[in-house]
Amino acid sequence: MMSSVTVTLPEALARVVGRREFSVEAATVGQAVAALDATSHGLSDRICDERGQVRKHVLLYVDDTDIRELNGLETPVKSGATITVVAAVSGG
Amino acid sequence: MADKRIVLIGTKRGLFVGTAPLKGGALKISGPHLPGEHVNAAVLDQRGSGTPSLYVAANSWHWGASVNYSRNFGESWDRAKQQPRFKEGAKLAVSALWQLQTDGPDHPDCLYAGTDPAALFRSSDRGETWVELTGLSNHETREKWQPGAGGLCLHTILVDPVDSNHLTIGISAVGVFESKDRGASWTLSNAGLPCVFEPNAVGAIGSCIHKLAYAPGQPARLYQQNHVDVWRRDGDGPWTKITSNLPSNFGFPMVVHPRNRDCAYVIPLKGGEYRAPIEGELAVYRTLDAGATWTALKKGLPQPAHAGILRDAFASDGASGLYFGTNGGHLFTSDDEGESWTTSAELLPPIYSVRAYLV
Repeated sequence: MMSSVTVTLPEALARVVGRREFSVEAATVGQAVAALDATSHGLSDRICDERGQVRKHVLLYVDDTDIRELNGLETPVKSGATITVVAAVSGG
Repeated sequence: MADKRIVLIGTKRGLFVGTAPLKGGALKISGPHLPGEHVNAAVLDQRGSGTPSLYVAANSWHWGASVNYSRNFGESWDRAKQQPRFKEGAKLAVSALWQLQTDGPDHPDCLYAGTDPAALFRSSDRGETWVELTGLSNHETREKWQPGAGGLCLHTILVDPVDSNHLTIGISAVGVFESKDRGASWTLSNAGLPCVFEPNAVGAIGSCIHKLAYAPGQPARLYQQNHVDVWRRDGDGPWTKITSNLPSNFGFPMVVHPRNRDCAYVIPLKGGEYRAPIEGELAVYRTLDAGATWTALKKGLPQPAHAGILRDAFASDGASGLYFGTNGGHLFTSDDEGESWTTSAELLPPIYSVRAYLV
């Protein structure tokens, strides 16, 4: 079942694509990421690679939970949920 | 008629552009363009009519590899609509773009891109969309390909200036491959080259190509800086070692004089894990006899210097100008074919690539 969810981007990516928040209809996190392309062509490619895996230094949260602790991109989303894209800091 | 020189400087933090009059005058550096992106390659495409296009192979730590282009000399940038990517189900993902190269003048809308993991992509619409040339990816030797220290990268793409159906590419640490049918099928061209994984397996898969360059004129001549020694190949080969009196058999770039096929340039480095000038002596070495002998050119270069020079960070502008950058952020320029050098930029981010053009 499709839900209305909000996807928020980190500042660095929002600056590049010109927008911070997106409202999309999706049943899973993966569908929500794919749906971003309808508004900003190629945005999903910046988040996931062509194997459909989240890029190495990117994290996705559904509300406050890392999707790695859930079911990854297959994690279902409820209406009103917020998916937060995080540019993971690697090293110092 | 050209009236200025343009130098594209790809760095760890974006693209910088140097501009100077055709003769003399300091380079004026602008940028960064695409700040924060690792720019492994940048191309100024002067084919066709109108304003030349700039193409940049950009690699983001977070957001992946992308081809970006500008049709207005960097005032604005667009990202390719369909990036170089493996087809669905390939079990591979492009981790970095290593090279961009224009096709021959008979294909003015075409460009090539090289990636890690090693694959060759072609765009037939001025960089908007890219298609993998699977004849190389599915080569019968593929399962034997192993990466070098920089990854399994396709870093060199040469288009035969006489026949654009003839492509030559270099992959670390795999070898040289050639296609005579615009990339549909490929032949390994390692004859005579050492194999880094099996010292006695000359000519086999596993030669660590660092850079290839065409010499002008016929019959076809290629020069190569390998992980092990410097090489030359006339006609269809095999490769002949020309390290001769160089102070090291290790280095990355390989540049050939635009008009003199017997003249080539390398920058020897101490090998192994060090990868910087030997005992701090920064020098370009030039041969004028196709590699029989080499002479150090270091007038004007600061000494000592302990920064490395990467495989794509040395270029000719097609006339008398030579340019090389270091991973310490210095750019050095020669207006007299290497006889003397000036420091054109300091404290740039680590320089990954340099290309120079007369515009």
